[in-house]
Amino acid sequence: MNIFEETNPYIVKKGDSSLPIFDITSNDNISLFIPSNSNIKKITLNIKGSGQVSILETCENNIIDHEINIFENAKVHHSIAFFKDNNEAKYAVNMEKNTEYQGALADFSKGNNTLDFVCNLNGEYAKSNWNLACLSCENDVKKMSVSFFHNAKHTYAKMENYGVCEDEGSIEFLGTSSINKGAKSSATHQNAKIMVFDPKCKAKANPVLCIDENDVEASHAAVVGQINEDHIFYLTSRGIEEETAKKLITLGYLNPILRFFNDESVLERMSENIDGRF
Amino acid sequence: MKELIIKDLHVSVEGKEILKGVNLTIKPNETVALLGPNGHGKSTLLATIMGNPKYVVTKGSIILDGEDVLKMKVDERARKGLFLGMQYPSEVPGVVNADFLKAAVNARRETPIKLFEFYRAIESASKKMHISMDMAQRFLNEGFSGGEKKRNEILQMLLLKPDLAMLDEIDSGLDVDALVYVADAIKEVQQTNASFLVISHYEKLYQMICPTRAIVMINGKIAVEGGMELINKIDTQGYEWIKYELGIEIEKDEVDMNKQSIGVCATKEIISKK
Repeated sequence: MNIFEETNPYIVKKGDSSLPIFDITSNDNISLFIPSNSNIKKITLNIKGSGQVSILETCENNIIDHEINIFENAKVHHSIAFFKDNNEAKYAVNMEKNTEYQGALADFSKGNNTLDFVCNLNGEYAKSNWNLACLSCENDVKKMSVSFFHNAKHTYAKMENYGVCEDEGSIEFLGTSSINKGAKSSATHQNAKIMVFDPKCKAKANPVLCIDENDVEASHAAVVGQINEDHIFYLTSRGIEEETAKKLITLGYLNPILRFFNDESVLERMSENIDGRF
Repeated sequence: MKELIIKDLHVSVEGKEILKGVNLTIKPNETVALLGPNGHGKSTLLATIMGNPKYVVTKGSIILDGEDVLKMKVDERARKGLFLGMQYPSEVPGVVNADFLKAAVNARRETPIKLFEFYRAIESASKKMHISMDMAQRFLNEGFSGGEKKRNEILQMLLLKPDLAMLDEIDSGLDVDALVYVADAIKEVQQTNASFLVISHYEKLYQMICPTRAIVMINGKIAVEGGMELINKIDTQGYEWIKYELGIEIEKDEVDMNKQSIGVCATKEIISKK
């Protein structure tokens, strides 16, 4: 359901039209759609109950601040698609005890986009998975910062950021994983990969781990590299033209993000976005 | 294909010359067994014919039906009917096997294959290779066992119907049953007038696919030619007899003993300083 236009017994709307606040309480699984809305400066979601809340969000020319408060035992699946450029999206996700947050962001759009995503794992056993796929072509500048702060025991976070860079495109990933004092037995993992096609691409992957507690698990990996020549040879040796082979490999790099989206029209727009870029 | 003619082929890899004047002609319906000790250029020959950019041709020619193969891109060579079943097929994460196979099949067609027709072709080839249809939805070779990868190579050969299939140690990593499936697939393609250039270290595969000719590559050149009797002789006696009977010294890679025997970095440094 469209969160701005439709009503639902699970949702109470507060605040004014530029700073809306939604209280969502559900013990059933529900799906929400947050369409792009340029009148909004900040949106707040307070999510309670034991049901899974699936949120699909599209961003086009937006500068939006998000606050997502996930209360005890709540589960959130959040899929974000960037379409047109000049998106400056800020997210602060605050997680209480026994909560789950699964986030996915796909940015195959043309233009410049900035993401500042911060997740605070404030309650014990809070668990979060984050996946991002981003394509940068022509003169696109994409800056993506993703941070996890572990503030309680037994918290878990995993971040996967993937990028493909072509022409004079630029991608910068900043991944911060911080296990703070007191967050014993927590685990944090991050992985960043950027595939670079052309000599004028700019690609940066900066992983940062701040560990201030013992008895924790932490790992990071960052790779910036060119397309594997052996893969190209393998595909072309079957008669596939080099351009098609590159496209298959690139799609293979970006497509896994699509599994987090199940809305046909959004998936179609994303495919169009990718197809138009080669 | 009418014929593939290789003349005086010299090939280098990273500045080191591996092939030192190979002459070979392959005609339709021929199955050529390519034997030879490790490191003497068998795989290099196959990879060069297919156009692997790591192998640099410094001299000589490869002509396919009057056309210069060395001027063709890799994909053009494949569309002209050349196929290489690789010794170590690449794992390509993210690329779904079915999408890859479809792109390969469509590369040879003017109009794209219909979904149903494609499904039937995959189903038939998968059955022959005893590969589960689920594999079509997995990423290309990723997480496949050694044997599964080899069977997937042969599945591709069945789908693409090449004129000249070059198979590089396709029998390594296969269990006894899988070896029979591979041999049956080769025999099926042999019926289509196709030619084969097959590298194997084992007589068993050759017995099943009945080569019309056997050649032995030594020191980057073809040193001996013969028939099945040559394969049998190598299977029982190895390659040493070539040295005595033909007077060809078989080159061996020299190994630096210091690098091999000392495993402690500090010790290595001390030795190199001396």
